[in-house]
Amino acid sequence: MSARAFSWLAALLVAAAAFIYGAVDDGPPRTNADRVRELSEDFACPVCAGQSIAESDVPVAREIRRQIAVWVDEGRSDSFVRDQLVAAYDADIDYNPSGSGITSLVWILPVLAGAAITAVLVVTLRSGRVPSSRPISSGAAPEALSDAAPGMSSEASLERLGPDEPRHSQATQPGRRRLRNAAAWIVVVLVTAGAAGLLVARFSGSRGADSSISGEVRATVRELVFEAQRLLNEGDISAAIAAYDEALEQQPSHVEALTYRGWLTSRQGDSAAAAEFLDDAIAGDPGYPDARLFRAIVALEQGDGSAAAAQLEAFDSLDPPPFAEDLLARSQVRERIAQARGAAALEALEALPDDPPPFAATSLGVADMLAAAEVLAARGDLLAALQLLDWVLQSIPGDAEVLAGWGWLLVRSSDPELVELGTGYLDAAVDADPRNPAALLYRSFTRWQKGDSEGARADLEAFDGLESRPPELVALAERQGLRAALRG
Amino acid sequence: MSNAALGSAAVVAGLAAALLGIVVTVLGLAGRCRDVHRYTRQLTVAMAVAALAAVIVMERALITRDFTVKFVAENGSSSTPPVFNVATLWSALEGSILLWVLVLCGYAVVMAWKFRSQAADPMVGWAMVVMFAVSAFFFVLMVGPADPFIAVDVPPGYDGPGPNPLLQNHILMAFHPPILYLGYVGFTVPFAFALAALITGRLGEGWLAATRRWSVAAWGFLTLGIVLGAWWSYETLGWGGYWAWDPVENASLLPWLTGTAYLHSVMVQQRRGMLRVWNLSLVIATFALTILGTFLTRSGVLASVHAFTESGIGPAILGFFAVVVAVSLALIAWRGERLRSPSRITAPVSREAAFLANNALFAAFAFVVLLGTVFPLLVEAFDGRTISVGNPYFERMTRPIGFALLFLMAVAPLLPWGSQRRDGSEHVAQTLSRRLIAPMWVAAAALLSAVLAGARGWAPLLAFGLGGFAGGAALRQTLLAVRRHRWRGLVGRSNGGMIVHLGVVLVAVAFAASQSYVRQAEFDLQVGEQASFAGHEIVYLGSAVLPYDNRTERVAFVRVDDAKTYAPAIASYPFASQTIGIPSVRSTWRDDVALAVLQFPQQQASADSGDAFDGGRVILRVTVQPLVVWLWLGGIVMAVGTALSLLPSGRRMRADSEAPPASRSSAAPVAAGAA
Amino acid sequence: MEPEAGLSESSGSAEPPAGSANDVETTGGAESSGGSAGAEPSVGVSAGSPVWRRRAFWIAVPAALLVGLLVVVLATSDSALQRRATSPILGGLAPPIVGQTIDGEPFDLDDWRGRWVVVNFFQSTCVPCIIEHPELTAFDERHAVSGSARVVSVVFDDTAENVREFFAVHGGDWPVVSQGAGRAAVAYGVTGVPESYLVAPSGVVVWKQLGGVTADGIDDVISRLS
Repeated sequence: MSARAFSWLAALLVAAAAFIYGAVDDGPPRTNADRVRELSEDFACPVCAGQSIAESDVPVAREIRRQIAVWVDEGRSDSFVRDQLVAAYDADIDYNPSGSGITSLVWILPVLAGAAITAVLVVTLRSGRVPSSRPISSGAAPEALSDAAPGMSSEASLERLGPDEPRHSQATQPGRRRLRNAAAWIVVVLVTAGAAGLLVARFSGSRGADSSISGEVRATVRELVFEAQRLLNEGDISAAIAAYDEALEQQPSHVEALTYRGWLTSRQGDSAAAAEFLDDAIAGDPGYPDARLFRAIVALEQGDGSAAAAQLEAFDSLDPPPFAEDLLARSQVRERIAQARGAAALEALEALPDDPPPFAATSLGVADMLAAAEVLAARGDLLAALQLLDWVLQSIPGDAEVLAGWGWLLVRSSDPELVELGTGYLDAAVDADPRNPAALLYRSFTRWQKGDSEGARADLEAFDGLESRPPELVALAERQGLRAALRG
Repeated sequence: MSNAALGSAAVVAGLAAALLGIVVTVLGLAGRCRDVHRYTRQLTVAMAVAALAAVIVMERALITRDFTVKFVAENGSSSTPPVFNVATLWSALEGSILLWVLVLCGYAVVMAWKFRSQAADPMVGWAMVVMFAVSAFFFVLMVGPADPFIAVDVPPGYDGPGPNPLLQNHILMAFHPPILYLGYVGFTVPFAFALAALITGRLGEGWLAATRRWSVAAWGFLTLGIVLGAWWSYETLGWGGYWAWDPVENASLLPWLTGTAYLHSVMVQQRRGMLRVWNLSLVIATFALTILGTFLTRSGVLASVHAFTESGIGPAILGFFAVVVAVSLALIAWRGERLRSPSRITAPVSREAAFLANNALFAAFAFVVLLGTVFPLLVEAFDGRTISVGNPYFERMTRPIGFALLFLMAVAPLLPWGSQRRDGSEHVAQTLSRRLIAPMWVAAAALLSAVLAGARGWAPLLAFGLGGFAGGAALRQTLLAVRRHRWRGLVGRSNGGMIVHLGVVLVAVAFAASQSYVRQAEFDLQVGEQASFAGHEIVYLGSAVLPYDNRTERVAFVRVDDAKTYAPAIASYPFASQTIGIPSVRSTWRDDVALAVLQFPQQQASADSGDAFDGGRVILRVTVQPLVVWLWLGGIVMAVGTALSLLPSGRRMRADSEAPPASRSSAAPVAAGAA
Repeated sequence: MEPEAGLSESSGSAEPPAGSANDVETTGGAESSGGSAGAEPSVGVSAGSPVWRRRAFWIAVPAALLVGLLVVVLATSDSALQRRATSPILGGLAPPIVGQTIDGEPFDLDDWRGRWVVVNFFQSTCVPCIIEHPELTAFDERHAVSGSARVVSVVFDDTAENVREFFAVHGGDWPVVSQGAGRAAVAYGVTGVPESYLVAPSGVVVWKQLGGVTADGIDDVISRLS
């Protein structure tokens, strides 16, 4: 192999490899905005002089552009857009002439002309190869083509084929055979080119139901978000972020994309930016549980317990997504929210004068007090916790919630006496309000731990029978294996 | 004397000179009066002086705001800035015809002077007759349907509306039309000689040699004019595009296509004596297409943003077009027997065969464009339906032709003339393999770097690859020529042609990239808000209202990529019903960020609050397109290449010395004048 | 070897090689003598000028015909500005108008089936819209009692605030659709404002008016059609 041949091979290989890679590889996905632009270029502005909708800035063009954007965001095909516009504005709004009827000629004629030109070229170049010693007179026919042909304008070449025949008929016997050959070739070329032209007209003159001349739509927002989810599940965070960004570029208000973009941002440690994304998402759709949950977690990270609690409350009022429990448990959201809440409540308590007014006279909430008591207990200061609850109970004696909380604090201590005492409080709580979920569930736990499976089961059934069961209690039951144990 | 009367007098004088020129020259040709041809030159000068006088009178009227001239009253304005005041001449129909006539007369004078030593030659004589006749037609237009010097009475204190707002907000408007006209009108000279050749029966290569430089120059101007036009529309229309297959754009492209075909096929005739009918047809078609373009632009038959207002000038131009075509075809039919060429192509893979293919492609290109442009009219005439043919059709149908042309551009310049085997040298395949290896590597490199830079999609990549191939071929030829002949390797027809090829490659690659990778989005921004799009950061800083003499602009200040601040605006002109967007473009060698204000959403609310404009929101259209700058650079390179190819190359120089020069275009009596 | 030599050899004729411009005259002369003399081809001597003349003729005639056709078409074409297609939605079911009015009420054109409906596309800043507004008001009041005909305005390229202000100033208390207006405008093929359509009780679009309407004008159409 010579050096040059090798060089050729190498160059061709490089070129082919690059070309094939570039032509096959998907590259960055096209956005809806790009599709809108390309579609806009393909339709005439109905009141402008020769401008497309993309070019023109008159109100109609603006309105149609906006509508095309809506259709594109809805995932409509090119043909749908075309049909709608043609139905409203008539066929001349479409810059792409139809491939059927008389308008198909605009597609067919160039192909025919191209074929005729090619045929003439081929004949010319072939005829040039006849032996040069031949006298020119006998070479009349090929030479005729060779020199006359380029002199024809492309549209004339078709017309010319017919009227030329008389000249050939004067030719001698071999000339006649050549004429027959030529005629056969002309027919073949015409038929082939006609068929090719029809194909071109068919493919170009219409917008397919799902294909689109405006370019292959590689991904709608929906697909992008789907893709991002997949990447996320595979653990490819940065690729998922890129996909969400792509989606947001197309549709900046896409709630799901905003939500998950925010979540991923928070995973990367930027809580402030994450909060912005998530707030946008919540503003877009207040009923999207994922956004609420993530916002709660982000709020916790920012140390804003009450915001987190509010978000979690909103979340609890919605249908939770399947992964929510796991995520809540894993990141101990409820516990941390309760802690934060308790800490905040304690701070509020400390702000009270040393000789505190009755609980009812403050603006504090029962749930906050329970949380505060939990925090105190967790610090090991069970006494202070009980004192706090006692203070609350003085204002609202017999409140099932507080009694349950009190009992729950006690039964979790290791001291059997205190456990016994706590059991009493729990009984009192259930007596006070047989439909208090906390009291029922806590007592169920206590009974189970004491070995009273029957009693525990009864309490749990009563708990399950309640209409509203606080999710954190449900979660507690799950987490501590209460339900499983009782079932088994 | 009033401007209107002076101008009218000048126009009538010009018409008289043109008519007299026809009579005198024909008499001289008929041999009635010997030596009468001497007056031909003086008559061209008289005609040109008349045209120049008319233009000067019109400019004076425009500059002094003489609203007693109807043209000034309708198109002038006391608030138009000075540069655009001069350019107002070609912003409306009558003035544009005036400019056309001035350019035409200028060409006539230069032609008469160039060929003064052969004034007695019948071919030159007939060519002058054609020039006079074409000039006379345009003078008649100015006397009749497109009279720029109609006098009107205007009330005192009258002020005109000024030219179309779009035509007075960019400096390119001062250059694009005159240069385009230099191109359009320049093709009259080759046309005149083609007709003269048909009339005198001297259909050899003499007339080609005589008009080569004229055609090349006209082609160069036309190219530059088209590129400047595209640039203008990119800078002023604000939708991020520069070519929209608009009927008027197509009308300028058609003569360019046939003219380009002619510049290539003429080499075949000069060298091998072939393609005589074809070359005549191309020259005639080019001229006829400029007339057809004039008709389409000025008759209102086809809707176009670039079209002039409708006028009664259409039928006259269409009639002239019909006459031009009819006379030319009749002459060709009449001279049919002399058009036989003495040779034919002997090698299917040779330079002349490549030129033949090139011409076939250009003819197909022109056919596609012409068909698409007039097809709606055809359908309406035969079927009664109104349809539109636009962007999708032209893109789909011209793209394969473009690819084929790029391929030919790579191979053809490296092909030897004729069949080489008879010379005992290497086989043509070996020649090609040796010469094409470097361009092939350039193509591979272009493809590889494009893919590495992130380019995807088969069509743009094919364009980049073929562009690299063609560019590599042109570069190889240029480098070889420069190595051999130093700076002289850059001048002369073939060397200058290679520079033009480089320009074409730049344009083709930039076109493919900018069309394929354009990104566009609309943003609704508050003051201080930032948007990121396609790798660029855009910050809306605020807005302001700026009053000018002839317009009021609401400007949005937008910072792009922490660099300069750009100021796209919406301008309202007192006499225009609609506001005009004034886009602003940040250009770098890599990509362009074009900004256009679509709307200030609170405009109506705050319009009452006086001129202090609070800013508020803006709806901004951002278009990011790669490599746009290279389009204009490519256009300039093409113009430079054209100029270089017009310079005399001294001695014959070719890049490939193994194909020795075999010049057949030698000094004809007629050709000497052109050299 | 010079290509010319091979070339003249291949052409095989006794003619001097054309191409050198010096030879043009002689070549032309030789050919013209053949051309003027010959009616029939003289085989073997020359390629036969009459063949060439005929050929040129047969090229020129179709080309002339095609160009002539083009000229005729161009000459008879209307001006682009005068060409205006009739609306394709006339005679068909009225495209839906579903959305919200500027007062936040839901609106659906189909709820008005059985009545004549004037669908009016307008913009608060357009002068002809302001001019036609009293006519619409008159029409609306005329049919307010019977309820046989109603008016709905659809906002075109404008904001709800501006429109609210417009109605506060100019009166009129029929529904004005703002949300969903863009979709409706494009569905009706609106090209500018004001533009009005008349929808028959059957739900078919029967009439279209570009520019301002008059109350009497609409009533005329209704009485003509009912």
